[in-house]
Amino acid sequence: MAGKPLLLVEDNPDDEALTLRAFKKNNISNEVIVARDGAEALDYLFGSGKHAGRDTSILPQVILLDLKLPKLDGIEVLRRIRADKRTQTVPVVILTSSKEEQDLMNGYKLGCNSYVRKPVNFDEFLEAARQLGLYWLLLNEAPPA
Amino acid sequence: MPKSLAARTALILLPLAVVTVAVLYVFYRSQLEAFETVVRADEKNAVEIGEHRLTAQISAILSDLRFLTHLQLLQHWLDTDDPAALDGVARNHLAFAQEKLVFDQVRFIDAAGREIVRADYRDGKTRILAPDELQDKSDRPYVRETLRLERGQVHISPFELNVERGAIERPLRPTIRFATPVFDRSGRRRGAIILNYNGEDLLDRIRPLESEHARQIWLVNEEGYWLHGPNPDDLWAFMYPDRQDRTLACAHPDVWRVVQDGISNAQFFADGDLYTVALFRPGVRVSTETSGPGVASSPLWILVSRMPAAALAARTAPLQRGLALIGGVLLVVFAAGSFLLARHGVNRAAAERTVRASAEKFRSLLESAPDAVVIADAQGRIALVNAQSERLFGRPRDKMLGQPVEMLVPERFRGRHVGHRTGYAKAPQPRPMGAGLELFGLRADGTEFPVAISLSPVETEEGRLFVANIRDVTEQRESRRRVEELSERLERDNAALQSVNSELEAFSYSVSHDLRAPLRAIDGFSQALAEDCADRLDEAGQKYLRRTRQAAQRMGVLIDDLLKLARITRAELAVEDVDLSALADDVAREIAEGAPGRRAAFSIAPSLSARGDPRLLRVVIENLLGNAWKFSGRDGNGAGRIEFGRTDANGTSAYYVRDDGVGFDMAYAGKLFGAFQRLHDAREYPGTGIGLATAQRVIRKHGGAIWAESEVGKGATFYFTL
Repeated sequence: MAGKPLLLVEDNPDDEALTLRAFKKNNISNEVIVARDGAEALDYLFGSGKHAGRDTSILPQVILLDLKLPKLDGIEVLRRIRADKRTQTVPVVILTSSKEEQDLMNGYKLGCNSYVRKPVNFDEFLEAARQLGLYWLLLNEAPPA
Repeated sequence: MPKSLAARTALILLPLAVVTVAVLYVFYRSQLEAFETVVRADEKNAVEIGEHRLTAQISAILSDLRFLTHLQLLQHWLDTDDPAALDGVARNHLAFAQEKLVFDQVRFIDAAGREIVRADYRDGKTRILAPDELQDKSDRPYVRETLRLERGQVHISPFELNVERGAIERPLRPTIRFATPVFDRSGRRRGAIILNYNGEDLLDRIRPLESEHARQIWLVNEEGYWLHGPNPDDLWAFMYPDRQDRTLACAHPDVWRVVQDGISNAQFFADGDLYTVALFRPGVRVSTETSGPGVASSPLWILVSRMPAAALAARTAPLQRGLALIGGVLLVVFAAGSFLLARHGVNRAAAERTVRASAEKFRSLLESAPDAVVIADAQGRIALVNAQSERLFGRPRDKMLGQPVEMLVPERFRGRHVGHRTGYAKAPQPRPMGAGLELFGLRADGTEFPVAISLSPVETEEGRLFVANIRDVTEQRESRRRVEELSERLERDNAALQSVNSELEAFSYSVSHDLRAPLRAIDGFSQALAEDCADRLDEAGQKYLRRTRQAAQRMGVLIDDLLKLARITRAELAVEDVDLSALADDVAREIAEGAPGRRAAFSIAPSLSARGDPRLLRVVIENLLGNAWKFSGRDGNGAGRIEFGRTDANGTSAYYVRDDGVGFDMAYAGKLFGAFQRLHDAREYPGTGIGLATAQRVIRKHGGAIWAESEVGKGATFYFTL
């Protein structure tokens, strides 16, 4: 199971810390790459900028993408991921703050694989993270790279 | 008032008919008069002829009588008494009678009244009577009368029937005796010559007059008895004792009266019959013509011609028929002519009325037109304007008529206008003038005003005219400007609103995203703290952390509700038919499933439907049923019975949700629907206080109303309309 990293695109350090904690509490031991904004996420995925020279054949097991991001927002990042052959099939879980954002996403029809609403109640978030881990990391075989 | 065809026909025909009838009548009268004149003359003529014929015959007989008197043999016999001479006289008489054929007897009687010589003529035979056949006639009045006469005097007997041996001879033998005395050389009266004249001969002379035109000829004697006439029984009535009253006096008193007056020639109408009467003594004129003593006594005769009314009428009948025919034909012709004339008149009158009506219609149309109408001729001179034109241009009609239309155009456009007008006249068709241009009219006071003009040519008897409908568009321009202004402002406002909206959008987004993030952090790290540093926190510390988390979570819920409220406010209504009963059923099931073990019964009326946005209406139902659920079935407050149905409230059909829960004090009913307003303790009845505010917004968005009725401890009822 281990090996492939998770890409967490999140600009809020609190959320980052809590997410990582949630993973840990759920025994998700994959390496978690954190990108602080959309551009950085794309740099990582396509081996550019700060991540220039990275072996881009190693794709994340799953991308956890916050919508509200500095520079490039989550929707744009998703569009680029889906537009590129290399990353087309990588599962993307959108971390939303509200139901409204989810509706908004559906409107774009960009093809994300799942949504996780970031609740205020951390217990709920833990539960979501647990399910996320079970589903994407254990049950759902990622397509061959 | 239009006259009917019949009235017009009568109006023409009546005078014509009257004149025609009058003319024909006058003509008829003149013809009748002429006819009468002719008839009168004819009758007079006939009577004169009759009189003449009678007198001429009488005259001839008198000369015959004289001839016999002067016969030499008779004188010789008188002188000599020679029997041979008497024989000669007899033979003479015989020859005479044979020659004349009208004398029944030719006689000589002596002074004593005895017949001496007598020759009789009867049935075509003559004979001399033998001496023994001769009679004594001395007792006869005519004999005695004659023997008293002087030389040359003649006695003419009354016209009567011959009587033989005391009886009227049959067949009737009308007779007149002519007698004159005979004197010898010494002057002694020796006897008389007597001629018995056959009266039929005399009557035969007047009979032919009768054949003409049904004319009757009467011969009447002095006493008024008919000697000749149409009725055989009336004839010779004086000869019969039983017929003495058959006189003219009795039968025709009118005629008789004229006779009595002694007028010798008279003509008159009596009972429509025309009578022409001549009174004469047949021998008298003769005697006055000849010298010597004349006729001593002659009867008075009355010759009458009578033209019966019927015969006259029969003679005028053809004239009447002819005139009637002519009159009839003329009337028919006139009637037909009158009818045609009248019809023509009616048609013309109708046509005139039509023309007048259409002219009137045109005029009133022109005057009632909302626009000013100016009609110009091909030379551009104003031919016709309506009252609206006068008002619009501020000029009286007579100041415009005949003037070039350019007088109504501001000076700076006049030159071009003439050109446009000439061009339009060459290819005229109805169209608005100066499409796309702003046109101006010129008032008498020099002010200008914007106009819209539509042009159309009309062909009239006076040539082609051009009709311009002119409308003052000052107000339209003004209102158009105002509309433009308003829509511009609206656009601006809209843009501003749009930006406010998008700001709000951004705000919501940021609220949901950014405000929640710190809360998540507070909650998350409080949890981490509680877990990771549990050993360093005492019971109180743990409790504070729990409350910190509770507060953070509660704020998260508040934010979510607030966002929901904002979203509903912004949301567009997607109206469709909504099955409210099914919706309520669904919501109730969800609520019940969320709290198993709660004993509460939902009673939802079936088949309630409405038009609205199903998503938003669901929010309303969720809130109302949720509230009812929340505030009932607790702590022994009611049985937890919740109803959803429809009822009649305040005269309108309203939906309601009723519970038997704690209810509320109506004094605070006004605060119910305010956002974050709560009437109950948050610990006992959790909630953000935003549900009813949300429900109210939804209902208002649907154009409905929502209100509540309650009493503390006795449940509450929420009503809403859509």
